[in-house]
Amino acid sequence: MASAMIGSNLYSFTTIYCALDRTARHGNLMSEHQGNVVTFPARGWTDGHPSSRPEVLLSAVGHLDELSRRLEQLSPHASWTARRWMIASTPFRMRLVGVRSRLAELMLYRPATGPDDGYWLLELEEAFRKIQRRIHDLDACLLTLQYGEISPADRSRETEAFLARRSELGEVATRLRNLIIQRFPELTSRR
Amino acid sequence: MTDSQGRPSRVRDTASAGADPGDQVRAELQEADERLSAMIYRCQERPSALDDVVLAIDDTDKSVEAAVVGTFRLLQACVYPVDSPLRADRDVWQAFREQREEFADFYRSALTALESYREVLEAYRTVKRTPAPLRRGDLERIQRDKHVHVRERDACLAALRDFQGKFSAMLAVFCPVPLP
Repeated sequence: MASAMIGSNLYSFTTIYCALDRTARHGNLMSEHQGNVVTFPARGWTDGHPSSRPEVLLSAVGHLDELSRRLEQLSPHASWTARRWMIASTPFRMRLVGVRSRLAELMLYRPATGPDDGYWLLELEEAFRKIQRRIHDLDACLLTLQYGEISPADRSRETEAFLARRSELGEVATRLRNLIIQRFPELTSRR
Repeated sequence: MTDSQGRPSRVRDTASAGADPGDQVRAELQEADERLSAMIYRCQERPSALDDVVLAIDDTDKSVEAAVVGTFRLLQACVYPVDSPLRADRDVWQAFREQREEFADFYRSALTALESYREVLEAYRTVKRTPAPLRRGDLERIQRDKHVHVRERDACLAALRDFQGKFSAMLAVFCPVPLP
């Protein structure tokens, strides 16, 4: 079966077509069909917002950077009590509120800049799904460490799991951040 | 610190004077954090210092309980309500609201520990003041009493440290998000 690499993932063309079609239906990426010719929208945001919405992207990248920084600041130990976990993870958990909002905005105002951006949007969606999954995983892990009545051995295992999940979340956050910056390098000079 | 409605007076006054009420609330929160931090630091440095601040219930400047209650009231009056000046930043306000129950739990633990330690401390001092000639075997009793006193003090200090740590950690949300 014919396939293509997007990032580190191998997709069949059927998958890519379906994803593009879904993107088009939900995000108005492909706004007009003329026979078998698809007309892409002009450079801008897929929801019809003007193209000058860099603050959404900037804010999303800023929040992702901050989230990664907060995660790196956590140096957990297997001996930590539930209370210690609650305190130490507070800045991270409070930042998650902003990250979730920014990611939701980002996906709501999906930036589309031209006909070549279909693959980029696919990658963005993939990174978005991954980061949501990783945040959920890390949240679940934190809940166990903060509220679960677990044995010292289980606590030690959960701490290891937290470290692994933190690393995974850091990777997908960096991936999403880089996707945005690579596609819109001008953002870094807008401050 | 608060007026009759439980609202910090300085926030009310400066808000009416035209200053940014959000900045004022942030300043009040930082001030409460610094005050609590300084108190806890002194007690960690010399645990017996806790005795004075635990017993100074009526001295609002010195009382650790007044500092804990004042901090809790500040959040109740200026942060959580729907008309809070912090609501201008939806993410920050929402983040604080999500921490409300957890923070209240730390607050309850701190107050309970304070109440418990105050009773033990008062009883310990009463026993110490009771004039009685020392007899053989009294040293073990004194040692046991002291151990109970110190254990309770450590537990109280730990609960206060957790309360302050939780509050301080919550204020980290005010750090600006860096742009790329």
